[in-house]
Amino acid sequence: MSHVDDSTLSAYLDADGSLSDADIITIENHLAKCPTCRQNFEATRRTKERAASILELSGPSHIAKPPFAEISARAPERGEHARRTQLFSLRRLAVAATVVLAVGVGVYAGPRLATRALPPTPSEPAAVEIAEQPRGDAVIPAEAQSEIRADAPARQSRNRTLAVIAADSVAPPPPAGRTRSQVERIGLQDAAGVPERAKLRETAPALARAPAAVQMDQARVEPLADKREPVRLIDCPEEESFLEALAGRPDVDAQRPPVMIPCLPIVSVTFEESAGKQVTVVTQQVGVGEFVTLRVLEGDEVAELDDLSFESDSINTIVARVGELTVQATGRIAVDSLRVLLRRAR
Amino acid sequence: MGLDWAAVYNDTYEDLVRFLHRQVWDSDRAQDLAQEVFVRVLDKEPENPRAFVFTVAVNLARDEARTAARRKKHLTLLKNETELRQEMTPGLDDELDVSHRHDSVRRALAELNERDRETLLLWDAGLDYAEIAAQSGLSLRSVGTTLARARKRLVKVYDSLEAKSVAR
Repeated sequence: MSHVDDSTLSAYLDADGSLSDADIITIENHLAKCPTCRQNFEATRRTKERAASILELSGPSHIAKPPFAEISARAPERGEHARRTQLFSLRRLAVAATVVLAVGVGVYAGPRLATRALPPTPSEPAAVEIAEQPRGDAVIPAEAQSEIRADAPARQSRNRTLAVIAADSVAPPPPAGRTRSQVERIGLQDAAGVPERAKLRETAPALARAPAAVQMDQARVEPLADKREPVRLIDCPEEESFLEALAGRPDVDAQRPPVMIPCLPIVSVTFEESAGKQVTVVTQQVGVGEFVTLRVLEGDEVAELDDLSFESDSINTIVARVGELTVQATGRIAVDSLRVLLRRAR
Repeated sequence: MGLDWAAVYNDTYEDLVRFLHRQVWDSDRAQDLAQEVFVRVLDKEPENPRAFVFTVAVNLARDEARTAARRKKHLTLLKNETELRQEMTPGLDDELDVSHRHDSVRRALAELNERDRETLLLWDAGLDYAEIAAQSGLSLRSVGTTLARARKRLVKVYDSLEAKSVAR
C-alpha cells in the first residue's frame, strides 16, 4: 500500500466514523511497518493536541446558563413577530404587485400608445426584485438540512478511554444454553458512573453498523459497545476446535497455522514479503470496528525492535515473544489490552 | 413533538457559547447569541438538532462578523480594553499572561480563512465529520484535509506570535 494521505490520516486520528473497517485495518497494517507514515501520524496527532490546547486558552470568561424555561418563554414573542412580519410583507407584496402591474402596464402600454411601433419592454426583472420573498428564518437551506442525516456514522467518543483488558476482566464462560442477552454484562457504567442508558443514543448507530456479537465456531466474543468496556473472550474452545475452525479457511495452512489469538474471529490472513521472507499477517476482530493485527517478525526487523513498538492515543504496537517467534501486535486498543491478547496468542 | 429541546439546550449551550465566543470575542455577546440561536430553533424539528443549532449559530456569527467589520468599533474597543488592563495591572503576571495568550489565540484564528476557522471550531465544539460536511458543503474527505490544515496553521501562527512576544 502507498503511504497514508493526510485526509485519511485525519479521519483515522479523529475516529469520525467515516472510515470502513477495511480502511482501518489497511491503515494500521501500514502504520505498523512504515516509519515515515508513523512519524507523520505522530506529528499530526501532536498538532491536533496542540491545536486543541491552544483553543482551550480562548474560552469565555464566564458562562451563565439561563434556565430553559426562560428561553422557551422568549420563543412565542418571536412567533408573534414573525407573523406580523409575514403579514406586513404580504401587504408589501400586494403593494409591490400593484406597482409592478402599473409600471408594467405603463411600460407596455405607454410606448404602444405613444408610437404603436415599439415592442413591449419586459417588466419581469423589476417584479422579481420587488416581490422577493422575505428571508425569514430560513437560515438553513432545506436540502442542506436533509443532508444532516440521522444515520450518519456515530462519532466515536472523542477523548476515549481505550479498552483495557485486565486479566481478571475476561468473563468466565456462561453456562451452556444461555443466549447472549442473558450473559451477564459487565462494565455497564463508565468511569463517571453515567448509566449505560444515557450512552445508548450515541452507541446505537455504531452497533447497527457492526455485528451484534461475533461468532466463530463455538467461540463467542462480546462486542465492544463502548471502548471503555473490556474485551471479553467467552466460550473459548479447546485447542482442537480452534484448529478445526482454521481448517475451514483455504488461506490458512492448517499444518503450519500462523500465530493468532484463539477465539477471536479472523478478519483476514494475508502474506507479505519482508526481508526476502514471506510473513503471514493475521487480522482479528476484538470488538465493534476494532481489530488487532499480528505479524511475525524475522531477521532484520527484529534488530530494530524498539522502533517497532510505539504507543499513542489511537494506535498502539507492541512486540513480544510468542514461543520461539517474535510477534508484533498492532491495534487501536490500549497497550495493556494488546499485551493480554498477545499473551494468549499461539 | 418528539424533540426534547430542553435536553439539547442543556447538552449544547456551553459548547455553543464557547463556539460563538471564538467568533465574537465577547463573553456577554456570545451568550446573547447562543440564547438567540435557541429562541430561533425551538419551533423546528430538525433530524439532527445539535448540528442544526450550530448551523444557525454559524450564520448568526457570520452576520455578527460583518456588522462588526462595518463598525470596526467593536474590535478597537476590545483591543483598548486589553491594553488598558495590561497597563493597570503590571504586577499581576498570571492574569496578564492569560489575557495575552487569549489575544494570541484570537489573532491566530483571525489568520485562518473563514472555512478553515469554522471547520476547526465546529469540530472543537463536538460536531463530527458528517455534521460538518452537511453544514459547510465540504465532502467528507475535505473535512479531514481542512481540519488538518486549520490545525497546522493555528499552531504555526500561534507559536510565531508567542515567539515574537518572548523576543520583545
